[in-house]
Amino acid sequence: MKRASLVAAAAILLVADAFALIHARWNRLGPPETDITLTERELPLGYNADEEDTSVTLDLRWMDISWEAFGQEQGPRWANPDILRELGFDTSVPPSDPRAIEFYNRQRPRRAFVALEYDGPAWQTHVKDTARQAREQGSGAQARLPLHTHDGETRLIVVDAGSAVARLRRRHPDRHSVMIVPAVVRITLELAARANGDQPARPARLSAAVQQIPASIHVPEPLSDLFRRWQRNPSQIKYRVRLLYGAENEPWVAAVETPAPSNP
Amino acid sequence: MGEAERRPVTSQSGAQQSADRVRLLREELATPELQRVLALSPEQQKRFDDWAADRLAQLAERFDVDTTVSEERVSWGMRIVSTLGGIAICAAVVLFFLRYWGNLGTPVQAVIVCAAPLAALAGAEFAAARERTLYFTGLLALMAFVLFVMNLAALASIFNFESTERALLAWGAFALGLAYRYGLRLLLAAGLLLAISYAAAAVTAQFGYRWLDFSDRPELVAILAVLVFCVPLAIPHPRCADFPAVYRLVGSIVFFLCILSLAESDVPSYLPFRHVNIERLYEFVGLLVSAGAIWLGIVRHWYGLANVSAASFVIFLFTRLYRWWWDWMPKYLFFAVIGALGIALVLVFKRLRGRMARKAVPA
Repeated sequence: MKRASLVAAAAILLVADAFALIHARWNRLGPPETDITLTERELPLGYNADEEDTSVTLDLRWMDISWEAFGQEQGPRWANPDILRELGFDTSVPPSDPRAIEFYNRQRPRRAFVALEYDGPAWQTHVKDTARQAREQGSGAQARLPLHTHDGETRLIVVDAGSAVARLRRRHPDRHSVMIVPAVVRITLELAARANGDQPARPARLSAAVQQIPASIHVPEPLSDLFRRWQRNPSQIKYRVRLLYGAENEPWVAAVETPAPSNP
Repeated sequence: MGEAERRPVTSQSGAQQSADRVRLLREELATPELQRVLALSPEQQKRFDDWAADRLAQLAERFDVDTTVSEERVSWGMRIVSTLGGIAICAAVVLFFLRYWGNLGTPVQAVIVCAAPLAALAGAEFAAARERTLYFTGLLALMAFVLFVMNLAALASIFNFESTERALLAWGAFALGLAYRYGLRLLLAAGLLLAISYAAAAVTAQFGYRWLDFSDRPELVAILAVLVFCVPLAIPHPRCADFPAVYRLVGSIVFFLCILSLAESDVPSYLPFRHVNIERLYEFVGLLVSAGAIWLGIVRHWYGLANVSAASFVIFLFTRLYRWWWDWMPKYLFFAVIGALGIALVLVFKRLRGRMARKAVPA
């Protein structure tokens, strides 16, 4: 028994490491699932709480846009009942049913994949929507608030969700502008709103929100040296990162570009 | 009579219990009070002294047990120091790695994190072959476990793996392997906690949820804790006599924590009832099961279980009383009632103890 437990412990070590290394190799074999170049707006340098930690990570930043339209918060455009059912949520109770609040509150977040579009139509729509809202509110009580600017804001927008990568990729075939990543999605219930002045009435509807996307991305040597140098002088860092996702939908940093020095 | 006493001594803890009994018997026989009742002839006294000395020497030779109170105190100090030292060395190794690993290339990082737990395991095996008390072995085994946790966590970070519950399985199985190899209770407890977590996380992930949410609805964890509690009933541990108590402690503590969170902490449940009814139900279950477990612990001489259950019973009872009375009762009266209940419980336990003592007296 004792000899067997020693052999088992050693075997567990070796098998777990072999499995991890084969998994890593398998992820990077073949053509990448996503090949995208992002900037410091989408991949800022990760915060390192421990000063002695010399590892370098980038944090993936994304937006799941739910916006104030006519004073009412609305869920993201991608979240419709068909997608919710595809993700495995039970939508059998109508949103207007009195039991709906408890029924949908009890449902747990589910694992899924989401499509993140980079600097595409969803981003342009977001910019236009915020500009329109600023105009509409310009004469109201919020007129004195500073205008919302998009400087430094990530241009990665959640545009779709699904239970399988292949199905999502068929809907968004451009691997250079749409990345498909694992995520955790929760179902939400938007309550009905009565008509108020020029605001139309709105029925209760089901929606969803992306709760989590794995964000921390390790930067290997020698690429991490660039970031360490920048950490000493962090102001005005501009860079572009070529990010690849492999067969297992796990990312790696393939290249880091810095802007060419401007001519004097 | 405990499990260890009924069988020949095969473990260090069983040997220590045996040595303690011999030492106490020798001390009692030397007291004038007992000598008035049981006067041994000089020859009998010599035969007993020789036997006791021989028995203690055998146990000390084979298991390195403590044969005096002073030795026992020093051993406790060594145990505490070796555990704290092990934890400190683990922290040092992990922080050292963090300090320099950013400057290393990916292949070097992978080789270091894979080789480190293997080296610690080899060190534990080397130490185990050279010591009987296993202080250094325990320290190195703890290091091997922590380094294996760091190993998989570092590989996951280097290669940006998506978080998976399978790491819990590997860590738990490794901890259990080390625990059974060297008879280490701390690693057994860690392995059991990881095994419970893995099983709950795997079921959670199987249904399409995030595995990290496995403790959101604690009923599944509570069921797994009961299974862990029952393991020693199905699998005897003749070589590790002190392991069944660890199974029972881990099982009972996890079970009562789950029931307590369901009853008091507003966590969701699998049951399709109103939240307030679910809380009442689990309060009742907590009181009932903890009372039953106190009885079981006393009857089966599982004193760890009896203590954990008594603490749980008191917590369930007092939280219930708090909910009933805190808002409308004057605070002084509330604490007076709690104090009176405490005294009543002491009287109940005293009576129970007296009844047990009467039963223990042979007819």
